[in-house]
Amino acid sequence: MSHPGGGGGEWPPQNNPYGQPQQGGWQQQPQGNPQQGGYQQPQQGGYQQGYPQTGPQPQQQGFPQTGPQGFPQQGYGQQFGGQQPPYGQQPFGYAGGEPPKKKRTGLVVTAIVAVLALAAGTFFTVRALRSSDSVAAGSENPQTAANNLLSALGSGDVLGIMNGLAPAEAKLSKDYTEATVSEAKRLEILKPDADPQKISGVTIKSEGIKFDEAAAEKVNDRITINKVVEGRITVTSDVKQIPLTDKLVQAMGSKADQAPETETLDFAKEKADRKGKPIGIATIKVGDEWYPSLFYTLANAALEEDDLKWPAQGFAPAGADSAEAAAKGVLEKALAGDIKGVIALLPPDEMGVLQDVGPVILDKVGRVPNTGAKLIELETDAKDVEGGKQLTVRKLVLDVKGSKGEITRDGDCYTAKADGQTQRLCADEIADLVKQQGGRKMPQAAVDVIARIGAQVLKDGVGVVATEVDGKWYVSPIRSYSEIFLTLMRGLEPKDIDELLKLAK
Amino acid sequence: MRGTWGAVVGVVGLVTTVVGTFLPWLRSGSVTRDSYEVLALRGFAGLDGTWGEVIRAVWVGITPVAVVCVVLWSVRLRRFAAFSALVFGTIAGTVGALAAVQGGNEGALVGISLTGPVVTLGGAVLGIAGAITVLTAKTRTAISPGGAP
Repeated sequence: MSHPGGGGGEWPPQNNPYGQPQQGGWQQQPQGNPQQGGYQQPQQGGYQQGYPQTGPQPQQQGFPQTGPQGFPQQGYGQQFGGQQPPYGQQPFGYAGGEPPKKKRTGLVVTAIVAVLALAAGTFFTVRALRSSDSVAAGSENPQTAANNLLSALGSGDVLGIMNGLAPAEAKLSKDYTEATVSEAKRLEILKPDADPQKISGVTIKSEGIKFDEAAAEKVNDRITINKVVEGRITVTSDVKQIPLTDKLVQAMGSKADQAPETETLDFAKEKADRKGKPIGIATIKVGDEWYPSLFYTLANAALEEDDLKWPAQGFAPAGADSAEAAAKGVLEKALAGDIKGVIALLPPDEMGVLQDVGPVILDKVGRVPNTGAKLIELETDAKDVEGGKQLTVRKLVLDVKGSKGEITRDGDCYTAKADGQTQRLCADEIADLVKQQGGRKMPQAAVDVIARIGAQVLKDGVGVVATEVDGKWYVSPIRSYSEIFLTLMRGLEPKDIDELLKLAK
Repeated sequence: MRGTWGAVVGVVGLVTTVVGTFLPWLRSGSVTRDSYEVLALRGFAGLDGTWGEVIRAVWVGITPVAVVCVVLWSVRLRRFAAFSALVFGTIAGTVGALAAVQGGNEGALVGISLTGPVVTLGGAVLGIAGAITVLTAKTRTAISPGGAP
């Protein structure tokens, strides 16, 4: 690394009593060298040594300073990498007795470079901060939200679709897609390098999508249905692109070699087929932003199918103070036939659609009779799962029309008591039970598979998943179902898939 | 002279690296995202907590660190600049290399786009090379009290 020689300006005239360019520095008279032209050590710090100077020492006899003025000089006055004239040689820079002329070029260039770097850095940093900030990408109005979804669909932007969806729906999808893909890899259904973030086998394309802004249906302050009147969405699925293991591909036979299948949704045609009713894309407001919602879109389609309207007022969510209380509440209300109470105990972020459409559901279902059963006692074991707590039954006591029934769990064994009778079932007894029930005709492989799944269910226990929303606990039906599904998958082994494939042939 | 060349290479590396972070890193369908837009999706990788924020801060800090390197150099604090460039290049280069080796998922709907990671990696290598050149360049030392140069 060299110092730009002489480019940094000259040493300023010194006004010290000795006429030396002293800055409190170390000074030494070179020994044995006649002072011809004057080699001098400029002073910067440290001690002073040598002959004291008694008269003014013009700078031109000194060693020219090459660093920018005002910049602290290092060492003994000799700049890092600077150029130094040999002893006795006329130094570069100015000559004669004229006062030095300050050159500010280096300083100006330095300042310009620094300012430009700072300006560019600020611009790009602000841009980077903004780009990296939007974890969930809501929109400022319903139509933009719906447009973003269809735009993401049209460009096959799976991440854009997921990121643009209502946050609770996107999280549900993400949580269980990863877990399911992981299990599928363990069971050698998907290849080990299959990545849930790199879905393959499906291509989605949209073209000419148009909304009818005037026809947008504002259900309430939180829900708007945007009407799509033109355009097409084409979905092409190609089995060959799915990262299935070789054994799955072999088992599929000719189906694995079939050409890609394409399905097209033509919005104009759909509108005509639906007697002028365009397909609606539902958007919901979460916080201050709008998001397209898959659940609300499906609910809207179901309502339209039956010529029903969104109710003016939905059910208010009524969460419990704890996960256990939520599970108990759902069970009590279900036993009592209280549909409204059950819906109110569903998470308002994931299942808010059921609360908004609740009155219609109640109308359609009608009055549900009380089962006659009453919950006496419920004890649960809690386990943290993705997005909430899974509660599995440890003890359940019911009163069914005056008759008491009880189920208790001890490890992987369950004991049922009713009408004075007691039955106990443990995980390792499942195989025998299946043989007894299935008879000798059932293949051993099938018995093994069922036994393993059953044993896994008894070990893990069956329960519900409770989630916390705004400090209250609710029971999530989708998470509960997904956990049960994963429990069943966990009970399987890769060889079970082989046996199931053989049975399917 | 060698140090000057090292600095030039280093600055080119810094600028290339920063430019690389704004080039495509992720492809989803026909949409590409730069490294910062990928960070916005950190929730999908389960990094929406403190760690996600730390990773975001470090990565967004790439550009300011590059600026600091240039400013340090311009005020002649060259060794500091070189050390900063070394740290900068190591972080950016590691991330770029990790992303680059994951790239090339042609059939997938979502995959790594190689442009951003490769340019970032290239820039980081130049930055590191420049920094090492500056740090190892023969520099003229101060004259000792005894007068020997």
